[in-house]
Amino acid sequence: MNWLGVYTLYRKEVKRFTQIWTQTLIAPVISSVLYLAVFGTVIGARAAGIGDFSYLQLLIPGLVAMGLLMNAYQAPIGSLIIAKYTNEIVPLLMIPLTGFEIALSYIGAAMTRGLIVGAITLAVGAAFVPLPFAHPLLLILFSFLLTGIFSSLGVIIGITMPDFDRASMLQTFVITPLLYLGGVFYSVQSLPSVFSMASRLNPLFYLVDGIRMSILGVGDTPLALSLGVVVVCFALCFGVASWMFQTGYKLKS
Amino acid sequence: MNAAIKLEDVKKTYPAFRGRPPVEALKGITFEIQQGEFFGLLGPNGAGKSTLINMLAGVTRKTSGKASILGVDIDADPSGSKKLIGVVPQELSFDAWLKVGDTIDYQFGYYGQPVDVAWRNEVMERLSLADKMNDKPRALSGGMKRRYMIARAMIHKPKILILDEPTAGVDVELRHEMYALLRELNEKGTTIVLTSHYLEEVELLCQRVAIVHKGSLVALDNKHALKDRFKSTRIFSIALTEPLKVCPAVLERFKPECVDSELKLTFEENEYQAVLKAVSEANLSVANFRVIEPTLEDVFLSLTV
Repeated sequence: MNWLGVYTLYRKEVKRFTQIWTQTLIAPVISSVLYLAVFGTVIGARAAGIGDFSYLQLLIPGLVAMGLLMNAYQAPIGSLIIAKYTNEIVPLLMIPLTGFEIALSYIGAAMTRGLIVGAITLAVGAAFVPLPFAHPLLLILFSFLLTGIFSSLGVIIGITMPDFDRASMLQTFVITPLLYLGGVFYSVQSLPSVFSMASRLNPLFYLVDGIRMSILGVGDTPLALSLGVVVVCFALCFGVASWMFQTGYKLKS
Repeated sequence: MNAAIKLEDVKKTYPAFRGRPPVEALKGITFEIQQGEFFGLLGPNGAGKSTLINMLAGVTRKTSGKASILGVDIDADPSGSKKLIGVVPQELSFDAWLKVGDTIDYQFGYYGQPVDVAWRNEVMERLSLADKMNDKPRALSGGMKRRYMIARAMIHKPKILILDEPTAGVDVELRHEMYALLRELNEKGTTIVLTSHYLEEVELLCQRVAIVHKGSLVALDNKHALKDRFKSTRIFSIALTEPLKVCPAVLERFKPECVDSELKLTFEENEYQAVLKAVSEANLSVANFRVIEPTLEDVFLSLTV
């Protein structure tokens, strides 16, 4: 295992987004704050919370989950599609790292971006509303797994999609609807039973609920089930991303 | 001792794409490059040189055959074989948003090495890039970009350096500085594989030359042997003190061509004695003369056109 190589590629990818930190780290936090302001103050008073918690307390873990996964997802897409355009992909394929090692660097860097945005969002939310932080270790575990899944998905999409237009189409038509219908802005318990059942077919529901359970101590689904879904999704997505780098799928001629 | 590069019946076929038929870029290439060689790989555009290099670099998959680098099979241990080589690809490629110095330093890390500041500074100095460390690669001129790519390929001190058109766009003076650096590396034991459209460059630097044409190896030999084998004709070029009015009959067998005051006689390499005797008998007023030997370009053209 070439650990120095993995770390170097990780460092390069982290530098890619920290160089433009206002766009990659601050802008998503501002979006979350706007959600908090609009949803929390305008409709928060009338909307249902969960258990003893207010709507605002329900919303913050949802926004944290959204910050974690959207930023983890977008980082490798930008990096890989630009690399294909600028031919930067050639030196990447020439360096002596295995597919697993390249995936580790890319996914690690994207996770870092997601975790930074998620942490800032949580800190800002906690400054507005008291949060119990019921299971802090679980929160860390879920955050890592969740960003890991979406970083891996970002790698898969970044490799597979030839341009930004098609990559963003997938985000608009698949990821964002699944995320919004996965309980970011509400508890699925508040939905009619048919929709509540349908929500449970959405894998993002378990990811959002795992974060909510970790912060509030209450959620819509048993913790073990959320954790199980998250671990399986992570293993699957990471495996596919590693395989793509190893075989050069859509990268090598 | 393992060959630096060993190719056994290497084939590459690009699949059919959007109505275009499949393209056989390499039709079963077999040859070896020995350790310590300065090796030239020639061929016209589309001959398969870059496909071969990209395959060794891990950028292109081969369809069949075996390839190894210093005994390390590129399929069985791709990371291991990549560690042994440094490749300057033909197409410019770089991280546009990073500084030149950063990308060079990262290169050490990718190969599992700590940054060797003294060596980095030496390489950048020798390639006239020392003052460009804080610039972005895209801000460099075309020739500087090429030199930057050479620096990136050699910074981890590879045992084999493969350069695909490294001097395209580099001015004459810097090109010669680059030759000196490559020669020095070769003298210290680095195997160098060079492809270039400047045939005089290959002739100047390389010991053995392979010529690839339409995906097949059409010649592989020492450059002198190649020239002797494929082109035994010589030109005896004479500068006269005044133009010839009538060409002497004694010179007729050497197909004389007279332009102004220059007379050119064509002869075979075993006719030196005969041509000298004929020139002497013709009683010409000679200002000076020279014998033009065949060049690699003549060999190249005879095999590929």
